[in-house]
Amino acid sequence: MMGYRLDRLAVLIVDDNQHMRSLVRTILESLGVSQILEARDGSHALEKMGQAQIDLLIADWNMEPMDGLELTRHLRNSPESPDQFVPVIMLSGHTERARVMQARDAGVTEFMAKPVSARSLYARIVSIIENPRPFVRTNDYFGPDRRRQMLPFEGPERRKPGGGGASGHGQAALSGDQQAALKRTKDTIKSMQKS
Amino acid sequence: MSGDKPKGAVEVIHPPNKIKARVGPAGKGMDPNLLARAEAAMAKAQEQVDFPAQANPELARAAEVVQLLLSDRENQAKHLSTLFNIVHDLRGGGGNFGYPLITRIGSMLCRYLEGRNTVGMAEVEVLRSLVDAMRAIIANKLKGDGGQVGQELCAGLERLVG
Repeated sequence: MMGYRLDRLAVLIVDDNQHMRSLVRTILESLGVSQILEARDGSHALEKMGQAQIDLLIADWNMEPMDGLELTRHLRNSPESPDQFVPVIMLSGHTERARVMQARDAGVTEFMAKPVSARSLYARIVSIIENPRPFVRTNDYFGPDRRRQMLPFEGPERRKPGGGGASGHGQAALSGDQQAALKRTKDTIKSMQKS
Repeated sequence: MSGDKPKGAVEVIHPPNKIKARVGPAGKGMDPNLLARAEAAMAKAQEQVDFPAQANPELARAAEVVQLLLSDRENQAKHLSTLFNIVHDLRGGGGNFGYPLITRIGSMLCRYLEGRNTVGMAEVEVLRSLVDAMRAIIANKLKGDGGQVGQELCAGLERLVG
């Protein structure tokens, strides 16, 4: 089966973790991508984009000094953006729905929850090629059309309603069941430390 | 670039599909051979990464930050944010480098911290248990699902975080 000529793409990987950059690079190389650039944070990515034409960005969220969200906002909204329309795949350990929505509102094209897999990355690249999303400009947003279902939630189930958000409780905040779980957990950890 | 429009106005733009133009019209969907090659290369690369060497110092730092939550209460918000960032990075890598339990427990911790700016003794105990559990997993090189011990540990922690 004939595939797309991915060897013609220039992809920029933006991640502060060298192992993760290396893993994504391995996947891209295996898919045939020949021009792969790396950056360690958002500012570094902008620097790289000033030096080379980039077709696709794969960016982590948490980075310093400029994170992936700020980078995406800059690309979409800044008059100094090197390419307002460049597709951005956000690859993040964040799996909470509110975070995914935040990424969407910043203007990311696709969201991918870590751990990364070759299949999920390849599928998103193909989706960007085959189903490009129109861009929308409103008073407070510029970026890919958010109405399309484009941000699959891949993480584990969120915690139960009412399970968090409280703060400053004392020891009494743990229920009897939680205290029993705490004791069992400590015992298990202790036994692991001995072994 | 998004101001100066009447309220509620929406402009839809169809930018040229530059990527499609570059990769050519010949393909359709994913090429199974290419995917298999990428999966094999990825598996090989994953084996070469010493995740414990990366995780150990980070988890030691996380344990120190948990201590600071009690000894430096005035700066709890800052310490909670630091703890979140350390663990968030680890949970991102764990699943990719043979330690899905780190991802699972790291996610519990990150969700537990969502919306919390201050914590009391009880919450610190919970956080300490989560960090200790991750340290024990790394110390014992408990890869994969961790077997019975790993599953028991996670089940207990899940009850703990509610």
